[in-house]
Amino acid sequence: MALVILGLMLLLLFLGYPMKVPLTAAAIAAVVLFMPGADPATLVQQMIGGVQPSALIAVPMFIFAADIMTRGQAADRLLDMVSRFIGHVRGGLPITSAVSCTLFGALSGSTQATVVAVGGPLRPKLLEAGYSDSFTTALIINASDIALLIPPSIGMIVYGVVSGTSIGELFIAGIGPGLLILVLFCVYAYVATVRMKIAPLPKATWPERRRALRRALLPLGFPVIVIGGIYAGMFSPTEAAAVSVLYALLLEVGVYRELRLGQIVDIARSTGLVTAVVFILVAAGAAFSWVISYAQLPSQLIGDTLGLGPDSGYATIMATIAIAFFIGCMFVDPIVVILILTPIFHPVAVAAGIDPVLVGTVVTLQVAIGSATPPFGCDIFTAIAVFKRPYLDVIRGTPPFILMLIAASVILIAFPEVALFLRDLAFGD
Amino acid sequence: MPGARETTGAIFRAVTKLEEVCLAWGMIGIASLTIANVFARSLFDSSLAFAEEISQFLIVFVTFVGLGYAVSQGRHIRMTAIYDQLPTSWRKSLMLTIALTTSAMMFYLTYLSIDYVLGTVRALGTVSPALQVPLWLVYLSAPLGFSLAGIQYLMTFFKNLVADDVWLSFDKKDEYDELPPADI
Repeated sequence: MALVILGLMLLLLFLGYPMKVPLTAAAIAAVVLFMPGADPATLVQQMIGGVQPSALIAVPMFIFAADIMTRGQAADRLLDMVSRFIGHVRGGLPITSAVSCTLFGALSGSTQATVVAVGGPLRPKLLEAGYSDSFTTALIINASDIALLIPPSIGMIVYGVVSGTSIGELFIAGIGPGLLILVLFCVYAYVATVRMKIAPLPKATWPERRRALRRALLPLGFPVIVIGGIYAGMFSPTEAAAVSVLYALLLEVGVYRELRLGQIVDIARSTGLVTAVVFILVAAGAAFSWVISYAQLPSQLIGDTLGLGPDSGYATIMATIAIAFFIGCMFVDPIVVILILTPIFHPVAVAAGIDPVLVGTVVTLQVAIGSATPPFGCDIFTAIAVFKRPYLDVIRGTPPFILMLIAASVILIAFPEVALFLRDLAFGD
Repeated sequence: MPGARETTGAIFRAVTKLEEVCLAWGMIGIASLTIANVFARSLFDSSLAFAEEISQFLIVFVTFVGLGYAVSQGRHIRMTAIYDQLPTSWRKSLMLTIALTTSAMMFYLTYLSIDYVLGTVRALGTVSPALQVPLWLVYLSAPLGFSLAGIQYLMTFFKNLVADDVWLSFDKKDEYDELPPADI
């Protein structure tokens, strides 16, 4: 049964079917062919139930807030501030890009939105300064992955809902690994700049910097609301998301007067579309998950095939989880991977006494890496669509970044404090 | 039959417009209710149970209405690494197959969801905890969305059959240029 389901799913996936189809078709095939006692209509029940957890409402709210900020001025103001402060150092432009991706990650929960918001304005500047196309594109794709670790994070929300882990704790735990990757990327950007012999930008004067900082002050209120609000225990992630939307509206409509209320309706339509595209995958993933757990495939896979149990030891379990999620995301959307693999692997990790927040952070890092990794990582296809570059050009520069990200995973698994330090500080024991 | 083609186009645009209105106001509704709930909790220390409930109804509604709309916009996530390398004639045949079979699957899901919503849920008479709304009414979004998506895929199939080029949906060609960056 497992082989038939998996074969059907991969076949439809590789043929280019919309991703909801392979999942749903595999679930239908399993119920009709192999589960005589089950009613196929249960799949619909699972789909409707799958999108209902109220914690998931944080997802469209964060997308909405980021959409408003990107159409308005907030995103541009942040980029401008970062470039005036660090543009003049060696490798300033790529470092600016990486820092901007991280900062934008604090406004938005998805890598795709970050590729567009930061890559759109900064990519032409990088190319103009003399950076190669492959380096530039790879930098933007991979640095955008940091957005998935910096709160808010859509991946973490879905992981938290599926596994029953505190989303607030996951958010705070993502900050450390996110910053670690930022540092690695900045070092690489510096080295690459020296090797390509590219001169730094002229230094901004202090009055210019003060002005840029003042202009960016209100957009910087976002991370304060999201991270500060959750840190201080004021908001749940869903509430922080709703307050972000309100703040974005006040900023862009009230203060900057960049957007009119009529445009907000159009942004809401765009957010609704993105939300539906994500949530239909959540629904299909829920149906698929129900089928495999009904057939008791997880325990077969974990116990018999992988030989994994609570006694397997920390390193083995974490390495298996990391590799499974990483490989999964090389092929399908991270949300789908988290929905399907989490119920399979989470129980083993918890039974072995591993902190669920640590598991969630490692999983988020792996899906971030996987979605930027050839052959089929979905960020690559976003970049192809947004920058209109051929596939091979887009992936050529990725290997050094992937090596750094794998190094970051090893560091995170070996030293969980990277993630858990801030969490323990915020939430105590 | 030029008349039939124009009528189809007009109906397509009207349905799309309606879907857009539903999605936009669905999102605005969820945002307003969630914000109201934050104020209620922090100012008056009491959560609005009905606000959370309506948000949940709306997210079900947005998901399934958006299912059809995303088909019409050619926006469902696909893994196109292999598909994109194929010559146009192959892509055309593949798109015809994908549209027809996906349409069939959507109609099967419509059938299943009618069975579940009008059969099981209505017979059980389940109501929502705060507002006492019969859930089968809320869940009608599912058959509605599946059937709209099925029709959209069927229209995509016929479009590819009669028109030149490869079409992702009834009025979206298979090319990257049409992706508006701000819409991601």
